[in-house]
Amino acid sequence: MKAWWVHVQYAWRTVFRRWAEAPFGHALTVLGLGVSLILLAVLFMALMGAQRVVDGLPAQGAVLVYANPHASDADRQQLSAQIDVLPKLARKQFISRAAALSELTQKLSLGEMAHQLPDNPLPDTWVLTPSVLDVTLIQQWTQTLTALPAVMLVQSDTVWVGQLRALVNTGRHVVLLLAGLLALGLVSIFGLAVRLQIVARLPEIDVSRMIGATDHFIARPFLYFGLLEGLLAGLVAVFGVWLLTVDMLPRLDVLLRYEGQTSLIVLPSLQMQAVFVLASALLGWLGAWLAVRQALWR
Amino acid sequence: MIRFEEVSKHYSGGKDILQGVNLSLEQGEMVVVTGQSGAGKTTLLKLMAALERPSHGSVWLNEQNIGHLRRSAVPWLRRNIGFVFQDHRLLFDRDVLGNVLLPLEVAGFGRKDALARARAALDKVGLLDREKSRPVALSGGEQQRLCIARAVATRPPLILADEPTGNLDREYANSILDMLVNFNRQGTTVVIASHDADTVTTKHRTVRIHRGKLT
Ligand SMILES: Nc1ncnc2c1ncn2[C@@H]1O[C@H](COP(=O)(O)OP(=O)(O)OP(=O)(O)O)[C@@H](O)[C@H]1O
Ligand SMILES: [Mg+2]
Repeated sequence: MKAWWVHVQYAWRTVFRRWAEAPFGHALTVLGLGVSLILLAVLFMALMGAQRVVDGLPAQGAVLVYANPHASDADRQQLSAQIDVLPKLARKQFISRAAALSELTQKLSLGEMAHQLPDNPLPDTWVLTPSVLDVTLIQQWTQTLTALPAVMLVQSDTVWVGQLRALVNTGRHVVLLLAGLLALGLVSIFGLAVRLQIVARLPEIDVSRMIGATDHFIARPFLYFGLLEGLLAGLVAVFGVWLLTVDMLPRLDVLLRYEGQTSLIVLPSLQMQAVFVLASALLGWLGAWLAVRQALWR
Repeated sequence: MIRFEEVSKHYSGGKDILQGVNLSLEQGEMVVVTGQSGAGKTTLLKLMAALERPSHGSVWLNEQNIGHLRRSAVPWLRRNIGFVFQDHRLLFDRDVLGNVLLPLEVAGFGRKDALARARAALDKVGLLDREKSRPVALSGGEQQRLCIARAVATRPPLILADEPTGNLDREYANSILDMLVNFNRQGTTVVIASHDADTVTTKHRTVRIHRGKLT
């Protein structure tokens, strides 16, 4: 345990010594990696924004059924009966044409004008809410209801809500795929950086082996180096994202935001930033591990 | 402490460099291995440190057959050996002190302890005032002494010195030999390889390699 701790301390000292030998080169590497990570972070933020849009959508789109004003009572009763047996109906609300007109009159402050209309132009309306958001179900409802003589028109916002959800899901898939690719690229760059170091240290590695160094002893500084580079690159990225959100995104947000709605830009929480930096450090460690494995442990 | 039983060694594709070598070394002994250039002195020393494995026969170190050692056990064995390499193997991107620190770091000495031991070793070879120099800035003899300081820094029970006096004038050579004799007096087992039989006093046991055999 004590020897292990001594070796860990030694490895970190070695990491810092090596860093100090070529600070500019290592700083450039970290900067480059950090900028790539910003890309990754922005992708994720875009995804979270899209998710927020979807979450803000009505969970259950409503179906509006407008009755034909000239329908007979029998036809109306048939419609009412049909509505009651619709599959997966969660809720129904009836708005009579009179109620609709008075509400409209109030809303638009039409006052006396409404009374001067020769006839109430509004139809009786049912607002139907399905218990699940399922496009085929809604299509089935629409078909059934449209066929009835008492129905003038069936309208639904469910279809485009479903489509938008599908779109965001596809987007999420694409973002995850891109993120995976980017992470793979980052691992190889981290690995390459460590590999260069290993090649430069081959004489030292050789001598160390000959005087009794274990594989772990030799590998440790390189692994820690990858870890440190990943950590710093992650911090650079977090700082970069912060700059972006402070400067650029508010402008963008003005374009995207609807009045009274929450912002589309999701700022990463402190926790998420920490996770991001740790993940980056892990990528660096992984790259280093691959390089070490390839170069030393054949 | 060291025992060779019918040891033969050839490098891949080559002829036998050592043939059926038998050798026994007691703890605390000092042995000089001589022989012409290319006779196999370095090979013999490398077999003792498990830097090479015998092609036939077995090499025993402290009753361990080092030809059959697990890979993970080799480093522990080597830490108990101070090897003075014929080609020095100094690290030119570390200063003098850093070179001597390396085996101490490998062996897991704490920072303070390692520094004290490294300086003590440098003091013994008269290089303490050069600890901040780079090895390139040292003369050939100084580099040789640095190698010895690195080999003895951990105070190993066994020192294998491959041509520790090679290419040095008699005065330097003698001072280095004196040093090794001193370590031996303190109980360290010492094996010296030297192509120049004259550099070595006859006081010590001498084995000669000739045509792959010990004489
Ligand atoms: N790694 C190797 N691969 C192939 N042949 C080798 C290898 N190492 C040594 N040899 C050969 O083995 C023979 C003995 O080499 P060794 O280094 O043991 O000799 P030596 O007695 O130490 O010579 P010197 O006095 O010149 O140092 C030489 O002919 C050399 O060419
Ligand atoms: Mg030799």
